[in-house]
Amino acid sequence: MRMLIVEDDPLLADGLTRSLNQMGTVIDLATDGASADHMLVSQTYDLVILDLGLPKLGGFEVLANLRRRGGSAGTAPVLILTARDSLEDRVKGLDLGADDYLTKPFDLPELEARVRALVRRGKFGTSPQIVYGRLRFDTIGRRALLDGRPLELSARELSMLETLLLNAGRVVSKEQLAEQVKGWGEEPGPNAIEVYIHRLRKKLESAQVTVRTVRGLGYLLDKPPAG
Amino acid sequence: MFKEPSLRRQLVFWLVLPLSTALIFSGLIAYRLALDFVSKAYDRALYDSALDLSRRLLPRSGGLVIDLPPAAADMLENDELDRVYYTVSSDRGDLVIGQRDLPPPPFDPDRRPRYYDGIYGDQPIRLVALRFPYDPDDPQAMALIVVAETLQRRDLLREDILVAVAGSQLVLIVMVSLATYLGVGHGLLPLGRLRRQIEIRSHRDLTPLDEPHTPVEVRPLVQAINELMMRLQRAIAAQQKFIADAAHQLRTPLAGLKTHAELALREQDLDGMRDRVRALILATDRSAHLAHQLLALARAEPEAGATAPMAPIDVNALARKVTSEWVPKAIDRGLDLGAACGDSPLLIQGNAVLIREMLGNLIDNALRYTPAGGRVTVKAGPLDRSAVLSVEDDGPGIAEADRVRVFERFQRLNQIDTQGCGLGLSIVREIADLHAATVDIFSGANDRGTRVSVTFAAVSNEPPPRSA
Repeated sequence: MRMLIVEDDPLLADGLTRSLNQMGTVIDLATDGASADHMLVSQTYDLVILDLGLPKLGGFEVLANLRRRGGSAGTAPVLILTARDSLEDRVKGLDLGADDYLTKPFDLPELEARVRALVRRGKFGTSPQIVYGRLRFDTIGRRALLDGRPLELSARELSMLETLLLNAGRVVSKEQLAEQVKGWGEEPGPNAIEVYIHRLRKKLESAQVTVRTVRGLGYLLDKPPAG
Repeated sequence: MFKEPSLRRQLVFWLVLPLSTALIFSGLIAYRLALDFVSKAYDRALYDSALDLSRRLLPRSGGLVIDLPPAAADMLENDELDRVYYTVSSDRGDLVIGQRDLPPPPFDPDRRPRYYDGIYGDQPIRLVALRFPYDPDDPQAMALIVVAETLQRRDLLREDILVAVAGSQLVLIVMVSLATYLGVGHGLLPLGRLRRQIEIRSHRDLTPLDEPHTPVEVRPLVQAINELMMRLQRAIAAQQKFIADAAHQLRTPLAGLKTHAELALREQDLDGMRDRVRALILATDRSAHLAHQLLALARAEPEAGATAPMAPIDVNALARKVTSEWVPKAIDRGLDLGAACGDSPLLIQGNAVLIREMLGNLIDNALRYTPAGGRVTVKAGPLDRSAVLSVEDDGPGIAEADRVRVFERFQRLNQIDTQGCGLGLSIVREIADLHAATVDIFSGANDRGTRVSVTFAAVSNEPPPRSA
């Protein structure tokens, strides 16, 4: 696996290189936009981490050039890593074809997680399997396995579990859940959702999966346990 | 009419045009009057000739004769420039002397002299006609006297008058134009002086411009400029203080950063080093937070905020969304963060990015200062014609005496508190001001904790109520 880091601050570039080396990747470093542009012509990368405020050639131009050239090199996933946090910059970056956008300063674990996700998406597309601790959710076979054994869940419960798993660590509103399960018959009201959640919690008790109730907002599945 | 407005051009145009028109009219009137007087004087001379003739009339045996010696006739007829014609006839129509074919008067002549114009031998002439009693014994016996002269002298004089009047008016117009042009220029000098005064001024020099020496018409302009200067001065002073404060504030986490980094370098024991590095990350987070807050404040300032586009926003939906985003952080800190917002849209006119920033700051504050196990609730709802957005916690609360002070920049309530950077509520206040909203601090439910509420003017969903 080969990545290109485009960053003009040597201290940050060094930190990024060390961190991503630990993930077992080969890292190339460009300290200005022009050399990054040059390297992107001759080499196909699995991921490009791109700063915006670069000497010689701006990050937006590097990105636009890359996407314009196209080909296998031109489709490399790009993560913009920048100090500019305005909405316009974000939108412009994503419009130009960036795959993700992270503002400085950032938490290293978050950057690593996003890099992993981008590389995975670039290689295999979206994974059909969601792994959450001892729980494994097969989005194609539509079943949930606990320690390899299938859990007894209804179609609606499965849909709700899938939504919660995909949004682990984030609040999911009752409306969102209702939207997900309305494919299975008529749209359930808020009370029905509460009933389904109650059942889901019971069935997941042994899996050490906690579905929290967030007052006035909805539900939250804790972030997956580390490891 | 003109490419760009010019005061001098306008003034000159509006002064010279009517003045010139008036001068041309007055010239015309003077010319006509002069002609009239001249004509009267010459007519009078013509009448004198007629009188002269009348004195020479004599009655003779029921008829009329005239006593006109050749020398007198010559004197009457021959003039330097003009020819003089005359005719004297009796009532009965007998010609006594003179040219019979002079144009007859178009009126019935009497004893008063009356004048008329005519043509005689291709020449325009002026004539006078009158009747005269010539016989003292017979007052009914009348003689008709007509005297005429060519117009050479009158024409010459008319030309002279025309040249004199037109010339003098022309000189007047030129003088008035020149005087106006120079006068306006002189009058506008203070503007030029003002311009030079501003031109040579350094952009750092914000002292007021001289006011007493400027004319009253320009003084309001100078006063307006001076007022702007004063506002600028205050704004710049505030900015400078803010930058100095910010730099000071930034130094503290940087000092912590450096200290812990140096300690980490010196540390032999791996666990000890980890502790130092953890402190390093904490100090970094604090400086990053400060940088974010400074940026947020800069964006919320009226100068920047004036350009922030405003649109109708559903406060209920926005409050739910922003609160949801903060839930993971609340869980990390062992706090129960929830929301109590209405389901139907509650609209206000505002900038979504700024209101999100404001609410984020309120939630962040509550999460920072509420001890683990506490409860933080974000509420949104209507109140009369307002929309109220509030964040309530059951933490230590803010003493009534401190509730004004907390809005000041870099103000933290106690020295032990090293969590925030003291900008959160300043940001909230700035954003509220931009939205013409008010911020109030209350105690929470049961007199515990803090409730910070922001009251916006609601955008009415329904048509405004009709007045009875």
